Amino acid sequence: MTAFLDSLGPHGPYILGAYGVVTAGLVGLAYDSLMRRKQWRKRRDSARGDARRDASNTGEGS
Amino acid sequence: MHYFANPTRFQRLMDILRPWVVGVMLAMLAYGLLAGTVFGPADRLQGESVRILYIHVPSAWMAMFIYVAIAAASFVALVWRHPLALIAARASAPIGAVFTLLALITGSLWGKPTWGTFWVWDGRLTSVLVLFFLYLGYMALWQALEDEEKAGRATSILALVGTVNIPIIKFSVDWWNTLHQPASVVRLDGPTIDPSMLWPLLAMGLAFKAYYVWVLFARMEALMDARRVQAAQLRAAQHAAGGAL
Repeated sequence: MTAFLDSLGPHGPYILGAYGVVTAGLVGLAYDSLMRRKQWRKRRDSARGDARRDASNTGEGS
Repeated sequence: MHYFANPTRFQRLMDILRPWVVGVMLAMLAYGLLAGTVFGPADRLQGESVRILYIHVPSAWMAMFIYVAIAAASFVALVWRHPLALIAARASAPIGAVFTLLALITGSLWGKPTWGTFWVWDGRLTSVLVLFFLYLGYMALWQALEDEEKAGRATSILALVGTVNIPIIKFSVDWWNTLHQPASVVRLDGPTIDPSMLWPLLAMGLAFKAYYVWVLFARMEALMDARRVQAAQLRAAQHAAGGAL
């Protein structure tokens, strides 16, 4: 680790900082987007289930 | 274009494209990081800090590219009332905001060892900061207006007006005296950057574009499902009101 940091020279912390920020930002955004999709898909499926149940209760589905 | 106005048809297209987009993203990312960041040459003047180039420049490209995409989608939504155009524009905004913030932060971290300062109020840095505020304003406007149609029109107009900032960002380094270096890739007389740095940089640019498409698909699907849920809730409420009468 020390050898790796030494190979980056005196600017190592800036380089690692920049790559760290970009990794955190892009991974965080992807995670947020995939979680959003998952949650809304769940809510959509549950809304569809409710609609189907309501329709069958009132006899519309038959 | 109207063929894909149908969300189900668009969903099928996204399902077909997604694995290809992820494949391109991973391949380009691997090549760009290995050929540029790990094994690429250091710069004669800047030394190792030039490695920030491979993430800073593609982030800045994406910040501008996504804003232009939002403006184009907003134009399509205003003129042709394409239902998915507004969803695409709205889903793009947080991605563009993140890329703009990353361009600002990585630029700042590159500026310190190169210029001796994290920040200067020059044309390029200030116009990119304005772009970041435009993204925030665009997202805030979507949240502020409850009526989706009104919000769509207002945000589209804001996006179109804000495009005036894009040429300012691009040409700021030519118009004003600035610490930021002039363009070295997108130039009329061709790139001035060495091919050993140019190809990994272009690969990283393509990887970031593929990332944008991948995340955009996920956010568009979430927004489309949110609309479906709202429509189902409205139908259920109307149904309940009808039953009560």
